[in-house]
Amino acid sequence: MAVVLARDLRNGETGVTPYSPIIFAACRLAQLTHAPDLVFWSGTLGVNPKPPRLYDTGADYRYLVGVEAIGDFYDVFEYGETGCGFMFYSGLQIDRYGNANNLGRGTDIRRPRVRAGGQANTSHPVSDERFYLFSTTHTREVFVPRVDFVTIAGWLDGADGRVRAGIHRGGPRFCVTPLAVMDFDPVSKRMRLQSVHAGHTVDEVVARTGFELPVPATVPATPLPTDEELDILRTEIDPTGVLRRPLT
Amino acid sequence: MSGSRRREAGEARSDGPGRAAWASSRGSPRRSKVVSLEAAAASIPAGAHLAIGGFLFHNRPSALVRALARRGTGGLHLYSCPTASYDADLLIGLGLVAETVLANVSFDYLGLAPFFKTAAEQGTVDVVPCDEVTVAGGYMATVEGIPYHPVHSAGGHDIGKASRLVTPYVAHTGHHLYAVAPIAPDVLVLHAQEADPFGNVRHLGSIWGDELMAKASRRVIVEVDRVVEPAVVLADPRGTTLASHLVDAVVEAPYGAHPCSSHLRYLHDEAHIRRYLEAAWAAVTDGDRRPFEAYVERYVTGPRDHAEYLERIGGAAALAALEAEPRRFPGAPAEPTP
Repeated sequence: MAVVLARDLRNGETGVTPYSPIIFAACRLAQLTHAPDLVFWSGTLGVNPKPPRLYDTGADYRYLVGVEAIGDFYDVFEYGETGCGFMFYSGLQIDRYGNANNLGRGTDIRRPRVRAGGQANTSHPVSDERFYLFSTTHTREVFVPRVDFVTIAGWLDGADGRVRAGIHRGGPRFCVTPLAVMDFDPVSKRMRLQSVHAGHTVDEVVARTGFELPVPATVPATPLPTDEELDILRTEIDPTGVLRRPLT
Repeated sequence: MSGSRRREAGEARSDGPGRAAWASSRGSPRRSKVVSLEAAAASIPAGAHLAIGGFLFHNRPSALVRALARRGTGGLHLYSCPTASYDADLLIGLGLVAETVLANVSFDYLGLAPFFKTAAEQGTVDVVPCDEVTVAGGYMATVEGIPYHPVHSAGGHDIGKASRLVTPYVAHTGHHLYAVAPIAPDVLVLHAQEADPFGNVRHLGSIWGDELMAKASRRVIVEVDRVVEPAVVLADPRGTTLASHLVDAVVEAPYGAHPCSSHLRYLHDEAHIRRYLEAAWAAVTDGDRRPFEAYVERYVTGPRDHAEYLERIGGAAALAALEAEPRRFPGAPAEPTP
C-alpha cells in the first residue's frame, strides 16, 4: 500500500499526513526515490522527519529525528483553509462516492448508536488539490453504499455533487487497501476497480465490497514493488518491520 | 499584545527558585509564579471550561489532571487542540465532565476511548460535534477579539452542518462562508518540558496548539518536568514557546505527563495505558467497575502526592526505561546542570 501511494506523489509538492505509519512510509519512500524535493508535515507537526525506523503513534517524539522545522496549530489552521497538495484519510466507513466517516454509526450525529474516535480534520478534503483514501481492512463493513455521517467530503452524492455543494477543487483520487486499488469514474464519480494486488482476485474484491463495484473488462494486476523500493523500505524506512506485521 | 486583556492576576506564591538572580539591589523582586500541584488544582473551580494542552497522549498535564480528579472537581467542560485521550477518558469515567468540545478522543493505535465512547452513545456527556477548523478557528476568534472567525472549509460535511459552533452566511462580497464561534476557556492546563520561575516556557519538541490556546484562555497553568534558571531562557530566547506574560502559574512535576509522553524527555508508557484501558473496558463492556475503581485507588486517589504516584508506577527503573533518544537535536547545547 505504501508503494502504491508513494508512486503517485509528485516531486516538489507539499502535503500533510495523518498518524499512520503506512502513510509516513509512503511519503519517505517518495522522497527517497522519485520525489526528493517533496515536503510533508507529519503527526508531530514536524516537517520532513527522517527517523531510523517507524513507530506506532505518529506523534511519538522519536519522529522528530531529522525534522527541518516544527509547526504549530496556526499552521494547521492555515493549511486547512489554504489547502496543499495532498492528504490521506482512512475511515470507519468509506462509501461508493469516496466519502468517509470517522464519527460513528447511527442516524443522529449528536447521539450516534456507536461512537468512534471522531474526525480531527475535515478541511483538507475541501481545500487540497486532492486526497487519497486508504484502509487496512477491505470488508463490507468498511466499504458501504452510503456512510452514516459524512466527515470526509468525497464526491458527496456523485456526479457534480461536490460542485453543487460549493466545492470547486480537489476530491478523492483513489483508494488503496490490502487487496486492491480503486479509483473513481470521471463522470459518475462512482468508485470502480482499478487494479488487484498479486495474490488476490477480482471476485474476492467484489465480494468484500459492500456496494456494486464496476469492474473493467480487463483488470490489471497492481504493479509490484521493485527490488529497489523494497530495499529502501526494509533497510532505510522500516528496518524493524512495523509495516510487515499482520494487519488486523 | 493579544491575550493581555484576558490575563488575571495569578495566585502564585513568590517562593520559587531563581528569584535571587533577578533581585535588584534597589527594586522589588520579580514575582515567581511557581506554585504547588495541589494549589494549582485547587484554583480550578467546578464547572470550569478547562482546556488541556498537548495532543492525544503526548505532552499532557496528567499530574494536574489527577490532582483535579482527587479533588472531585466536576461539571467540567473539556477542550483541547483538537484531540484528547487518557485525561479526558479518565475524567469522564469519574463522572467529572459535563461537556466536551473535542474533535477526536481516542487512544490512537491502542483503540477507542471507553468512557468517552459510552458517554457519547448514552448521552451522559454533551459531546459537541467539532473538528480542527471549528476548534482552531474558535480560539483564533478569541485571540483576534472578533465575534466569529470566517472560514470556508467548514462546508460539505455533516460535522459543519450539525455543530452549533458553525453558522453558514453570505459575506458582502458574495462569498459563501462559515462563521466559527469564539472559544475562550477559563483555564488552560498544559505540560511542557521546562520553564523558568517567571513563566517563560520551553517546549523542547512539538507544541501543537499550546500557544494558540494560551492566548485564548483567561488563565494558564503550566506543568513542567523541570523549572530552570532564567539564564537558560536568556541563552536561547528563540526557544521560548510561551513568554511569561501568557502564564499565570508554574508547577514543577517531574515526569508529570506520565503515562503520556513528554517530548524529548520520556515516551508514553504503553503498558500502563493498556492496563488503564483494560480496566475502563471492563467497566463499560461488562459493567464491572471494580478493576477501574482499583486503578483509580492505586494511581489517582491513593497516592499521597506526585512522588508517591511515581513510586507506584514503578519508580526510577520504570521511568528510565521510557527515556528514549533523542533528548536534543544535533548540534544543540548539552543540558545545563540543574
